Amino acid sequence: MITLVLEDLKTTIDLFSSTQCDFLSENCIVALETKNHCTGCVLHVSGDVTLGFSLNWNKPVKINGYKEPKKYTEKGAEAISFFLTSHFTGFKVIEEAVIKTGPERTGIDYWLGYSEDHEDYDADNFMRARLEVSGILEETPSNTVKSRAAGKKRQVFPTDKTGLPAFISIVEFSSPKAYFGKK
Amino acid sequence: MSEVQLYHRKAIQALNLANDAEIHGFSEESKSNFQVAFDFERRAAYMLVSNIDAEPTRSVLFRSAATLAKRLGQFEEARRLIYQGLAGNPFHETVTELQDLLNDVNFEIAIKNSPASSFDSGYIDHLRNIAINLKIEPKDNRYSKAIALDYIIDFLKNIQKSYKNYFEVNYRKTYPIHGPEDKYERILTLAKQEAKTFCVDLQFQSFGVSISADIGMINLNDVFVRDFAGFKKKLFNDFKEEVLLSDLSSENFQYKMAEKYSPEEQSEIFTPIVDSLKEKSSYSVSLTDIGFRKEVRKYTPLTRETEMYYKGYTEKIPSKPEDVVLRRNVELVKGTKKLTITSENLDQATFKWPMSNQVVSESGQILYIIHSYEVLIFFEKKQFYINDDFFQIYLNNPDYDKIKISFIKELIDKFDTLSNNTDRSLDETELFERMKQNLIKGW
Repeated sequence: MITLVLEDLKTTIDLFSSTQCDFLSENCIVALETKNHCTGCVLHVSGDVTLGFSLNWNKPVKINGYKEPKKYTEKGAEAISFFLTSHFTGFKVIEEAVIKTGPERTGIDYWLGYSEDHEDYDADNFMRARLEVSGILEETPSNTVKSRAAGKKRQVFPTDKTGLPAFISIVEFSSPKAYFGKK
Repeated sequence: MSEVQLYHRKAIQALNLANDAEIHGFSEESKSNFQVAFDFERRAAYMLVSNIDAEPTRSVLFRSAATLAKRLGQFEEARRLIYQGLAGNPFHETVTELQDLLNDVNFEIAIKNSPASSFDSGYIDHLRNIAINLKIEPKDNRYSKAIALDYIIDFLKNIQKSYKNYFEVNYRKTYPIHGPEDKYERILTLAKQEAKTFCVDLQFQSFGVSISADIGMINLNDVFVRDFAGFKKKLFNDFKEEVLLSDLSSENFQYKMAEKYSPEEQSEIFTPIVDSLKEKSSYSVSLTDIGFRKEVRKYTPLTRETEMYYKGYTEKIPSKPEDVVLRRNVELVKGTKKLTITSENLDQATFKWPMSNQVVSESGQILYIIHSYEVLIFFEKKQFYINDDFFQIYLNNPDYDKIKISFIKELIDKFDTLSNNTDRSLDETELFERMKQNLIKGW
């Protein structure tokens, strides 16, 4: 089984500051510990590939600053999604894509691109695909990982233009489990 | 790293500085950093102007540069950048984003071009442009088409109430509560004073009214509520689309709203307007062109079922986990006579649907179920849900029978598609194996 050490996010995402990566990792630890998981728990990933990951962490987190479940769920989902992107795709996370604000915003999107040593790397066209991240603290009958993935996949545009290459990553912290796949 | 990337990185760095300065109230420093960010991003975008294969990067950089130009009040420049972005070969998501931005920029240009001396008339002209034209007529023709003042007042009051509630619901969604609750509520009260609708044109042959909302005059300090101007400007258009121009009876629309709003929020927003559109309303409503000459759409009176759909959750009943039924007692008293009416609404429930050994789709295809199979159907927020992980079918529908029909159709379609597709992913192969073990095609 593959092991992911949450504190190692900063080595996976080299374009983000280590402070930001540590913040995302901490949120992820809070979300997992809120759901009574401890280091070594297994994240079951379905989607394009089915795989289990052992989630490890050593850092004790002071939870007083993390009171808003929605925030740490979203940020924690980003941390897991970045690891999965690195594992399942040839892309790396480039930057946040601020597309929508306000009530329509259902998660955070990120731009993905090839690293410079990749054969398809194009220095000019450095944004190549979008990553759509979504987090669920605990599934309910009407809000499951798979139904949310299906909802995102159902979005069809009334145009004959080709769609932007995109990946969907939905992380649930109660099980914990995730869906990762092409849109 | 290419020069394009280099400039883009510099733009992001300057943008972060600009945002930091803005948060700390250093407006001059913020503005100069926004300008630096814009200069770098525009330079990065124009380096790809003739490289139309560099998508999505090309159009994203033009969109980003245009957003910064708009932020700096350079609307004509923003428009040029948007056109450059659209002139390439952008993916459809970016096209939509560029077009939304273009609408915003065009609005700003229209406001800016109104001469200062005639701002008032320019503004009212703009309000007329965005207004919705509605006409009401009495259902009873006893006084020819003369309409009672009561009806006019009722109609206008319902629209104003619906808009105010829409404003509040969306404000709470856009600006979630943080900090002391009483301060939040005080600011919300101030903000709600800005939720005004206006009558910007009238016609008295029957009764036609152009209704608009103030979207530009901002009294609330933008420092207290970040981008309040943007929120307010967009809101009336969204209100028109979601409340006044939608088909409230449509299941698709109801599903869309159930995704966006809680039952209580839907009730707040739609109850006033439903009162004007229901079957028992004394007047009918239609949408007309400017000048009220031509009827564009007649609103079909809403059935009792639709009315109850939106109003069903007006009263909150304390719910325990085992409570799946919302019960309301209404006591009618007339003189010494009393009548108690009890109504019940399901709040949440789970139904088990044991599928028979043989199911038939609407198009007559027969599917044989090898082993007995039970589908769980959940009911929550006025919708039925099937989240069937075994066959990977995820559906929702406000109608119990229809969701079952959809499930059978989806099951047959999925089985058929996977049978005909030899290039299956690992996930699909596993699903297909499960289907083969449990289902037999009868067509």
